[in-house]
Amino acid sequence: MKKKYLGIFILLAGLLVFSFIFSSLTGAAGIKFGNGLYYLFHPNCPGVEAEIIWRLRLPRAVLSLVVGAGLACCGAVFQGLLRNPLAESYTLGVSGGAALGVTAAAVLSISGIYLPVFAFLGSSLSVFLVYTIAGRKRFSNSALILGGVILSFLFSSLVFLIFSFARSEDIHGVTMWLMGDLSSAQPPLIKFVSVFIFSGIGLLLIFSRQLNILTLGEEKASHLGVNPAVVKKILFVAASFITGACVAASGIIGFVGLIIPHFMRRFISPDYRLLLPACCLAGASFLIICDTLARIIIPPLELPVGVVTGIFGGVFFLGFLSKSKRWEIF
Amino acid sequence: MKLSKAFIIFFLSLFCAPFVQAESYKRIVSLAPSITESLYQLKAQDNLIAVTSFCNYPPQAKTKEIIGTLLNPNIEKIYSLSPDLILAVEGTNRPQPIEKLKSLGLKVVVFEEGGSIEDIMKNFILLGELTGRKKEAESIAQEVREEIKFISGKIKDAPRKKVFWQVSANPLMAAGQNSFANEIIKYAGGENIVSPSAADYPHLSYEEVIKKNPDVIILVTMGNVTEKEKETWQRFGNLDAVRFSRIYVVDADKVCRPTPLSFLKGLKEIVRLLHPEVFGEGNQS
Repeated sequence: MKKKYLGIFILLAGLLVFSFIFSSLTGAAGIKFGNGLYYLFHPNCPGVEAEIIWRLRLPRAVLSLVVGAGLACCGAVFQGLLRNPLAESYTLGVSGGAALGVTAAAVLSISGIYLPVFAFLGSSLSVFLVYTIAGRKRFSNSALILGGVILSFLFSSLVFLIFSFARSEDIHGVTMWLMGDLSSAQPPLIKFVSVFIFSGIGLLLIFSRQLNILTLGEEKASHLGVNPAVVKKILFVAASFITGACVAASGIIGFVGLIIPHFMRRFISPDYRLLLPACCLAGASFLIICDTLARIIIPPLELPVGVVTGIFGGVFFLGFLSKSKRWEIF
Repeated sequence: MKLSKAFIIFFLSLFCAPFVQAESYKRIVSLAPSITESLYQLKAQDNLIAVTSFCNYPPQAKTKEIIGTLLNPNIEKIYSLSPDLILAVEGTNRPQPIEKLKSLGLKVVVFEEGGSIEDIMKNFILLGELTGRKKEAESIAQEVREEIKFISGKIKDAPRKKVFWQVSANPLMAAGQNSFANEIIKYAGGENIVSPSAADYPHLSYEEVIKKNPDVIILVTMGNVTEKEKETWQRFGNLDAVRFSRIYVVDADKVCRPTPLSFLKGLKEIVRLLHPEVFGEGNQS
């Protein structure tokens, strides 16, 4: 690896460590910085403050890390896979399916603690449908995009259909979830989702070389010995399930999958072998910082994290977009 | 003399100990406005340490520590206050934060949601038990029951009025048969025109309301209304409610809090509107 890249990776890793510690040491409880730092390195301290850090802030930071890494990575993969700069983790209907699953569960009076299961079932349904539709068209990009986008619209219409006759009390939980909610996941779910997402990311990393070739175009790719349909199938299913797991644990958090990969393409390189690990680190730091901001902007009220990623990320990205001289992605 | 007095007190306290509330919580966090209000009515506010930003009644409640909104309570904030009891209402509070609080080892009591006055009384008395004020709770409940009985007696022979209780104009939503408002209508000698449905506050169409021709239209406002909404109804000149100018605007804070005392207050207000011949001016109960 060239020296330049090594420097950037060290920088990104440093940012992640910094944001993780920052997140653990700030919050509504007003724990003093020094005390917090002490508790952070002494996990078995008794007392409320240590418990807050170890049982509330750290699990939440871990979940943000995992979900941020997953969403950013999948966003990058979808952009390469579809050769479309607008693609992100949710483009192919995963979030729509999850939203439908969660809304249906709420209306059927299924307890809120099972929402993750229904979110995952919903997103799996959408993955299955897009796969079937695109499969008939040999996984062409337009079939994937059109199928996914139209399915998203269909699902969101169904969600609004349910909203129009559901009890308002039932919808409360869903609306919070639709804006992203990192606060209520329980440790077992966090553990399970972490293992799931990181193994998925591992799979994506294995295919990063093929992904590089795929971005040249399908014809060239097949000349270079890559079977586009097979690679696309694998990447699509893997990235969709990673996104589904992210959505199940944390609701719909937009923008991470869109802006982080674009940033990283500029800062590092469009080479997926470098881009994917960079997206992991940067996406994780970004979501941790956004979630921390959501917690501390107007304490003790918490903002939905999706709102923060949208505003913070969107404004930052617009500035970046207007300043950069050359704007080509592929 | 003194010694014997001390002895008597000592024995009395021994004797009474089992009857004193075993669990009287001192550091309560309320996650719903109705609970906050009930705690004040029970004079248990000293045991209440924190409320949501939605708890605006009574006004003193605003001086308590705020732990976030109704839908999004700040778990870290709650935990940092080391409460010994957290009170929530099913259906009003989301289940996820409640599960999270329970998993941290905090004691959470979730009241069943119920629109009927008996459900409300039951919750109120349970709240009394939890705060060591069962007696006060029971006596308030008894008082309210008697007043309700008194009001029912007075309107026994009055004709029942068909009532449309609007909670929102856009979309048009009414108090349904399972709602708290329906209970007020019932005891105030009225009949809700909305047909039974699963929703507490169902959506409906203007056509439906006009077809049922209510005698009285009650517009409940969240403080942002609404001569305009009244005008919307006044266009339909054939409605009985319009012909006899029986469209009333009522403040939501007065009639939407499920506690026994608020129920009574709401009932008194509504019965006056439905049966002015019995409870009109100069005819006060």
